[in-house]
Amino acid sequence: MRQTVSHWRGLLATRLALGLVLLYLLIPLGATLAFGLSGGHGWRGDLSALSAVFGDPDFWLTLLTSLGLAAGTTLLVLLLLTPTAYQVRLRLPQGRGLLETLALLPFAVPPIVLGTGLLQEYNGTAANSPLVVLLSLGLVPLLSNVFPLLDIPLLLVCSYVIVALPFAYRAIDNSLRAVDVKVLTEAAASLGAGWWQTLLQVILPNIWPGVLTAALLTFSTVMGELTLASLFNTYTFPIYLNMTGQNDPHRAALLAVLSFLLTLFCVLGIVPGSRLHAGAGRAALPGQIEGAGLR
Amino acid sequence: MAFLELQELTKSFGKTRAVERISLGVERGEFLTLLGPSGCGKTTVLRLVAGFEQPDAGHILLDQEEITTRPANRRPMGMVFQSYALFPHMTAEQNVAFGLRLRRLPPALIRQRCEELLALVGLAERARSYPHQLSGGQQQRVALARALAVEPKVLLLDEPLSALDAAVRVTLREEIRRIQQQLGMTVIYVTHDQEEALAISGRIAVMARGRLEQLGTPEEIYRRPRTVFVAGFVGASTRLSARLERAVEGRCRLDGILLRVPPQPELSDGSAVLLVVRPELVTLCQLNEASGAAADGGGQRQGQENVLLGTVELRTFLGAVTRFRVRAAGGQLFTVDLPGLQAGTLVPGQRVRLSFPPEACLVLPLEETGSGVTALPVPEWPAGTTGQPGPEREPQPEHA
Ligand SMILES: Nc1ncnc2c1ncn2[C@@H]1O[C@H](COP(=O)(O)OP(=O)(O)OP(=O)(O)O)[C@@H](O)[C@H]1O
Ligand SMILES: [Mg+2]
Repeated sequence: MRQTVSHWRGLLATRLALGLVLLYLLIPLGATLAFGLSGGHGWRGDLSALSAVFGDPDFWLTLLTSLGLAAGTTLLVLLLLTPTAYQVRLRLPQGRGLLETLALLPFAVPPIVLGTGLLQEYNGTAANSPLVVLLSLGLVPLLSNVFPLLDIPLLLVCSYVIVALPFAYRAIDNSLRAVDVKVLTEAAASLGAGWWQTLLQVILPNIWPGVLTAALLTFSTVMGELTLASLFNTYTFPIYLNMTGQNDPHRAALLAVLSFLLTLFCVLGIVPGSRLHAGAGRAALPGQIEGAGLR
Repeated sequence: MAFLELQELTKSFGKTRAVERISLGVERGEFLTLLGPSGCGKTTVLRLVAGFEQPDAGHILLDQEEITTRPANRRPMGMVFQSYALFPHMTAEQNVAFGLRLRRLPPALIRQRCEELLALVGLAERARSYPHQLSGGQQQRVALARALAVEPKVLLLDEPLSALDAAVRVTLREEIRRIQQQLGMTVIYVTHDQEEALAISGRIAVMARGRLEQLGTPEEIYRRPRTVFVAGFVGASTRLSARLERAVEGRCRLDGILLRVPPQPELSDGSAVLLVVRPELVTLCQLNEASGAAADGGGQRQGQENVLLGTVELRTFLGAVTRFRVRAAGGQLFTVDLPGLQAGTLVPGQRVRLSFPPEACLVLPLEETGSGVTALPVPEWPAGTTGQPGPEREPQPEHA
């Protein structure tokens, strides 16, 4: 009897806490939306403010640029990190500490420093410095003679990869910890699976929540990044948002809500997909997907 | 040449010599068990065979073919792990199908094979269950079916039962044996449980400190252990250090008492030996009404039988037998098993007569260094135990 009472009380407390958190998240969002739609003189029930946003060609241009950058970065991060984290867990468990430290380094370097450093390095003059030549195996000076390295989006994507590294690595490595990587790999190998088959068919489905979290964190990082983009002279959505905000705060508010919804849709697009993959793996790793904080 | 040949396999991890020059052959369809105490290198041997580790030296040949450096996923071996190692995101059926799907068999065939195998391990109705919905024993059955699905030439099992409770362990080991015989599967089975090894194996390879101590049938291992270590590790026994007086006649001296043992023509007079006596081969006789030499079974072999006087120190009821710890007059400790009713009213403190025939004594030569006999591995009864020398205890090194 007392147990059921305390059970209900616990449930109620959970609900209450959840409700409060939702309010905390939704109230500012709703206020921003209201402010954006009002256009400065109270909302008159029309969506003219919205159509003005959609009518702006810069909106679409920057949005597509940012989506492209985000998608590229996410893809690169996952392709680089998932096999690496897996391989390190499997073959080089001593190397995990080092990798963890390396993955944390970008936290210590502010984007402005990272951006300035990259600019210095690749802008053609410093590109011929011995250190750069050595570290890039001679590629940087060679390529920078052919075309301006700074202007290709790939370099921006690469620096975004560095920025996203800490979150992404942590997310993936944490979910790998919940899986007995070594034994599962050996079991798969004894059944004839090669390295890639094991990664894709055995490991990945079991760490899917972590990979998903990594993807979301990377994606949203890029969608909101301002410093590097402006240093690299790329007209991205956050820059557009920033510029608009200086002239028209209402439109900026609307854009902020839109970018939130956009990210939300991306999340919702990926999550059902993950259900198919994860299957019972989710049951074994409860609550990891909530780590993304975006459901 | 045997079906699977291990030749002089050696493997070290840093300074640890996990496996040292192991050579053994496994015949087709044979059930071979690697038995030994924890850390003796059993798992390492299995992992070398599976291809999860590379040997520092030596060769592995399967069906006349060298596979020493072949990667694990291209060896025709199935593996069953102590921790089951089922893929958590797949149902039992999908787990079993995994290896078959990798081989791109037609789906209908895969489904049929899965059904057959799950039926073979008695889990036909649980095909749709995920591993976390199955008990440990059931998970291990699925793991067995999964390993068998790809029709491996050799099935490797690394302590597959040690995470299960005693009752499941016995049924499942019988089932593993049944399936092995039904399929004519070649099996290498790793365990540190001597009872399990004796019950299930065709042959047993006893290992200690990375080396192969003895290879033989369970009977040979139990009745004719060739080294002191094997004698101590497999089965309970009384171990007495003695000195051969007349090797060809089989006379030896144990602290002033003369004992008869089987003739040892290949040993020289005066050599130090270890006598091993199994507890079920010793009989106890109550000494009461001063009729000292009376109530002994036959009497016609009176002159041959070894007879010692002693005192019962401990009585342990083990079910089918009752085990006694008896201290002989010379101070030696004997382990004696008496079946059923024979245990009678013997209680601690009672004076008894111990007797055992010469054939009950197994004579193992002890190495001598310099003046004296090297530190003997004669077991002491650990304080407070019920008196079961054997696998639970850390085996002592053979010599210091
Ligand atoms: N990957 C490894 N790295 C370092 N040392 C190892 C490794 N694997 C095994 N060893 C060492 O090699 C020795 C043999 O280990 P192994 O696992 O083969 O023993 P085992 O007979 O299977 O023991 P158990 O019954 O406890 O499983 C041990 O001393 C162990 O510490
Ligand atoms: Mg082991």
